[in-house]
Amino acid sequence: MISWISDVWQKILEIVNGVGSTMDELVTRLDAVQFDEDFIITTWLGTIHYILGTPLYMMFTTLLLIGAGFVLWKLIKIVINAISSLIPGLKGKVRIE
Amino acid sequence: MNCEALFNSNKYKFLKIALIMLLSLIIIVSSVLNQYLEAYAFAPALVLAGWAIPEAVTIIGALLCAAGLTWAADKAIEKTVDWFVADVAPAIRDGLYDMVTSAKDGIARVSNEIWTETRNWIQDKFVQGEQVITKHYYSEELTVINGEETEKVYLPVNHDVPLNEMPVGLPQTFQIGSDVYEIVANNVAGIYTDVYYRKNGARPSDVMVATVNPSVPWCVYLESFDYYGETAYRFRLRYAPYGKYEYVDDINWPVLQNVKGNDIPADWDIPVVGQDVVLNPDWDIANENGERVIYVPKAVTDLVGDTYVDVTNPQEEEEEDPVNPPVGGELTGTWWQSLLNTLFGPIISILNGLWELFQDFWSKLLERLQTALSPLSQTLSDIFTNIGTQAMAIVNAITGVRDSVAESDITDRAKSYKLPDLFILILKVILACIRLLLRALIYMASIVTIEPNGSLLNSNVKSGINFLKNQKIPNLNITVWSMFSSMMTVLFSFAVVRRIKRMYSV
Repeated sequence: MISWISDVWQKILEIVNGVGSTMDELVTRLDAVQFDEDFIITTWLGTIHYILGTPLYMMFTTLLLIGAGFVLWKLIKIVINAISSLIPGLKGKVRIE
Repeated sequence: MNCEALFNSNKYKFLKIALIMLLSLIIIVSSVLNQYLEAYAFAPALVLAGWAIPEAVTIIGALLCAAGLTWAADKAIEKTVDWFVADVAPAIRDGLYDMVTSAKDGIARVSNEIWTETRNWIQDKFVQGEQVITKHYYSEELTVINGEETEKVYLPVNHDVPLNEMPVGLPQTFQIGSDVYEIVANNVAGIYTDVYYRKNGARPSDVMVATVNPSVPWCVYLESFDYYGETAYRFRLRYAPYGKYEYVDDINWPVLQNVKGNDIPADWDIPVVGQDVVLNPDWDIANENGERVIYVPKAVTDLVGDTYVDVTNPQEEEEEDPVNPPVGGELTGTWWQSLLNTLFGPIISILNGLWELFQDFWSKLLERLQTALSPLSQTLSDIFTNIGTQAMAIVNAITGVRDSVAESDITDRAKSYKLPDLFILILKVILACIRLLLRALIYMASIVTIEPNGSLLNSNVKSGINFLKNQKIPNLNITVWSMFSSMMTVLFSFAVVRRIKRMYSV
């Protein structure tokens, strides 16, 4: 019985260590992602720019940025509404439909 | 009434329509203006060989200097540049034009193709040390007689050119007196090219159209010759008839009336010094980032005596303009980019500031949380360690087995991560995700500034793209690529407008 409890305790410690190591590694990996000139997406976009030419590439990126702006706006709305619903004193005054 | 409901109300319908029309108008006008900008950029390049822009001579001279040549006189630089521009393939000549027109603040950037072709040309024509190259042409001051008025013209004039030599060509458009000449080359499906010239917008009746092989070089040049005891001038076309690959044919177009010059001088000698790198096949001025930057002197006379060391290092008198710093970092390019940099530069700055503030705030918060939680963490850790130690002691006592390896293993791992650490780690992961999102947003805002990069394409694909881009539609006088680009730009504009209309149900 005591041996079984010891095994369980050992397993718990191993799981905690495993989860801790994985999360620590995840943080390191996330911080290691750099959006620089060597980034593969930069190379792809540079190739698209080379093939399309500057006017079309500008239109493409402008459309992309406008789309990203709308997505961001929707995300901001969700966050603001979530905060608004959490604070009863506001009574939905800052809610954005 | 919230913001969006206010925006959706009929009261502001006209305002919405006006905004959408303004947006679409800006996009379309910007596209059209961009085309004009390209035309404007090409205009000085057309008169490169006519010395209308001395900067072009200096910039290309600096390129040749970086590639291994040195001169003792500015005239020799002009002649070498003239010879080089006339001698290279049309695609490289276009690249030189682009390099000249995009040079800014005394800095010119050299592409891989231009550098490779320049080095090939130099290694083919020059050797190390002093040498004198003889060319069968000279730039002559021509006198044009219009009634009682006379005008001066400067054009490269060839004389007595051997048939195996490509003469120095004329620019595509030039003026002699009040007459504007244009050399026309209509490429027909890439199979053959029709060449002739226009005078004041029309082909003279006595100017025949020549069909030349587009796969070998050809040249329209101005020749001086003895005409009944006087020096006369005419345009000539040197080319290879279709199916042949040698310059075996010349077409003599009519004699230019009322154009007089000096007596035919001797051949022009170009004294050149080949530097120590001139025949080195590995010579390259690329920096660690693979970029080739040339620092161009202000005048062609400043290039006399310079070597590759002088033109590949910044000039001492060059200083950055502190009054007008560039917006959005080191972003250069067309006014499109400048406009977008102006729009998105502040956003990038704000996002950068937010990121730094965010990092600073959360790192301090994290430190404080760690400081505050450390006693609790230590206490919990001690409790769990004690429980573990006691449990193992009991196990050891009962079984009588000393499992020292397992004990040290548990102790080591328990020291690595404790249960309370998991909460801190979750917070760290969330912070890392937010940092990643902010970096992605900053990157997203800067994608408009990404330079064209053809490194993923091989040379054949690049040649195909350049060929496609340079195909002109007969009679319309625009390239297929310009037409395609304009159509796609308009389609993109419609897509943007449609998207906005759908979103706000206008």
